[in-house]
Formats: sequence, C-alpha cells, structure tokens
Amino acid sequence: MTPAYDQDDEAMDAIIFLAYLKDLSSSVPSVTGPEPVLAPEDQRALDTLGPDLAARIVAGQVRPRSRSDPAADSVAPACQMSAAMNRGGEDGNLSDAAREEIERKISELEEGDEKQGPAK
Amino acid sequence: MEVDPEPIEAAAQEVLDALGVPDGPIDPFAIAREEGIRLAAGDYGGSFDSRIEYRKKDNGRGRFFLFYAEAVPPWRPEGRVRFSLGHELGHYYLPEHREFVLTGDWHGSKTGFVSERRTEREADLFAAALLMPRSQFVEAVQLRCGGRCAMADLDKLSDIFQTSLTSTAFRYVRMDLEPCAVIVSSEGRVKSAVISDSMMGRGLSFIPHGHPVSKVSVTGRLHNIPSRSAGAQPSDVWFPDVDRTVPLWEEARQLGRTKLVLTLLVIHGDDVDNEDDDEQLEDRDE
Repeated sequence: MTPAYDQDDEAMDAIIFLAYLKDLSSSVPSVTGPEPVLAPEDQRALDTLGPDLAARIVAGQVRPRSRSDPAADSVAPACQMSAAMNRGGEDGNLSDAAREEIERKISELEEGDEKQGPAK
Repeated sequence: MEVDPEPIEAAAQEVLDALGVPDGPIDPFAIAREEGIRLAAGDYGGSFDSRIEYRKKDNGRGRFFLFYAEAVPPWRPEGRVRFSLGHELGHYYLPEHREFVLTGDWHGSKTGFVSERRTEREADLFAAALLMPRSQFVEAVQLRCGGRCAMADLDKLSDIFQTSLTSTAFRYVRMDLEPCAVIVSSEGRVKSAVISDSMMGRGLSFIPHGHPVSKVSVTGRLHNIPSRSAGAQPSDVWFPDVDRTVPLWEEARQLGRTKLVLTLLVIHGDDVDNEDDDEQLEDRDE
C-alpha cells in the first residue's frame, strides 16, 4: 500500500506539471507543422554536410563535434597536464609539430581505451 | 650539483625486486606497461628523445603518458631508446620527480627553480641502475670479461644488457671495478668525462668540459686513422696538471656515424697493482 504522504507528493507533482504544461507546449516545436525556414548561412552550413547526413547519423558515421573554440580543436589537450619532463631534444622546447603529435597520440590511445571498454 | 647515486641505485633495485629480474635483459617497455603507463612511440621531430607527462581528466582520473622517438639504427639505436625509457621511468619512480610530474611543484618550488641538470642526471643514473643491475653487471664483468674491461669487453656487456656502448661504459666506470675513466669528445673537445673513484684516488680526478683533446693522444689521432684505435699513453696527456705521471692504456672509438668519440682510459701494466702496494704502505705506517 502506498503511504499517504507519497500520494500527497504525487498529487503535488501532478499540479506542478500541469502548471508548467502551457509554457512547455509553447516552446516545443510542432512536428506536424511546416518546416522552419533556415537563415541563408545556416542553410549553406547544412548543405556542406551532404544530402545523406541523416542517414549517416543513423548509421553512427557522424560523431558530434566539441563546441569548444574551433580554432583550438586541432591541438586542444584531451585532458589536463600537470607537468612534463623531457630527455634529449635540441633546445628543450616543444615544436608545434611535436605538440600536435603528442595530442594526436593521446587521442588515439584514449579512443583505443573507449573501444576496449572501461579499464579493469 | 653533486648527486648521491646510492638512493637512486636503491630505488632502481627496489623496482627490480618488486617486479622480478628476468633472465635476459631488463625490458623497460614491459615495466612501463606493468605500471599502466601509456606508451606512445612517434615522430616528435627532434623535440625530445623521450618525455613523460601526467594527464588528468575532468572526472579526476589521471594517467601517465610516455612519449618516445622510435629506434632508427644507426642514428638512434635500440639501446638508446631503451635507456630513454629507463630515464623516464626514473622520473616516474623517484619520489621527488614523480611529485613534480604529478603536481608541477618541486617541494613547493615552481618549475623554474628546479635544477634541470640535477634531475636529468638522477634519471640517467636510475636508468643505468635499472637496465644494468649492479649484481648482474659485476657478475658479467667477472665471468665474461675476466674482471676488467677493454673496449671489446664493453661491447660484450652492451650486447648482454642491450644498452648503448656509452651508457655501458659510464656504468662500468661508476662501478669502480678498476681505476678507469671514460671520456666522450667531439671535434677535439671533451663533452663529458666520468672518472672512477679509485682513479681519482691516484690524483687523476678531473677532466673539464670543453678541455681540448691532446693531438698526441690516441683519441686526438683518431681522425687520421681508422674509427678505432688503442695505445699506451702517459697520464699527463689527459691530466696535464697532475705531478705524478701514471702509465695509461687508451682506447678510442668513433660512435656510429656521429662525430662523437668514446675514450676508455685504464691503468696500464704493473701500475694497476701499485695502489695495493700504496695501501700496504699506508697500513704499515699506521
């Protein structure tokens, strides 16, 4: 049997839900109405993704992109580094190419880990 | 700054005791994997031979990454790569180094105040002790080299331990199994020199960085003759400021296709035993 106070809570939840229902319905786009018109730049961006975009998404071939600074995407660290120690090298400084190679290697290793599943 | 090798030797031995010493050469790749360190061989364009980093994710979990340039014989031999990995394992295992890699702080000091030269030397000592464990090394010198090493014996040891000739020679000198010294020079100038304690005990104690290589030494004449040579030399060729001259045997070898020359100096002939005589005289005086 459901205790009385649980019934009261459920009733209160229902009242709160109903109170917000009107606002919710106004913000949810209708799926039966006409398609919204895209701004020209949005339409061009969509076109560059190809006509089979929906099919590729369904097939899992399109990976969501990070919403971080796109300029930094190519070399953004996958995770936070505390410090590093080097052996050898010409002047002790990392070249941009070496920095990119490091981030690429880390991404490869991380992707390999994700495919293998959680570490035991 | 002087580095005390004993605690570093002990730390390397502790690792070997914990992981078990294999019958063959120590495998630094296997040790890194055993510790969960992610290994990343790659082309880092000469920025470094090897590098260790600790990366922390947003969820708080972190991992060590060890990046290294792959072996490309003869320019970057396998032995050098193995030593580089041993060096990074030094940063991983030595407590102060590990703390620095984990936090970016060195006993409360920020990176700029850390003596990079000292830390690198400590990591080199760790690598040597890890890849050439003391007891196995001494045993190999006794059983395979007759207790004392010429350059050809150092070759044998570098094969046994799969280390570079240079790191093997440095390890041999630091073991002080006989009075000896190893010098690395380039284009007629000394780049580094390691002298055994017993050699220093004979007053042959210092060859400065940048010191010109004497043209009459075996090393100095190497450019005109084959890439390896040997011969007897008086010690004042290498130690001009020392009053007493000791007969030395000098062997020199060009390292790979580099301009570097490795020189081994040992006491020549009967003078090796003179130290015992000196000690006996000291004992008698006491």
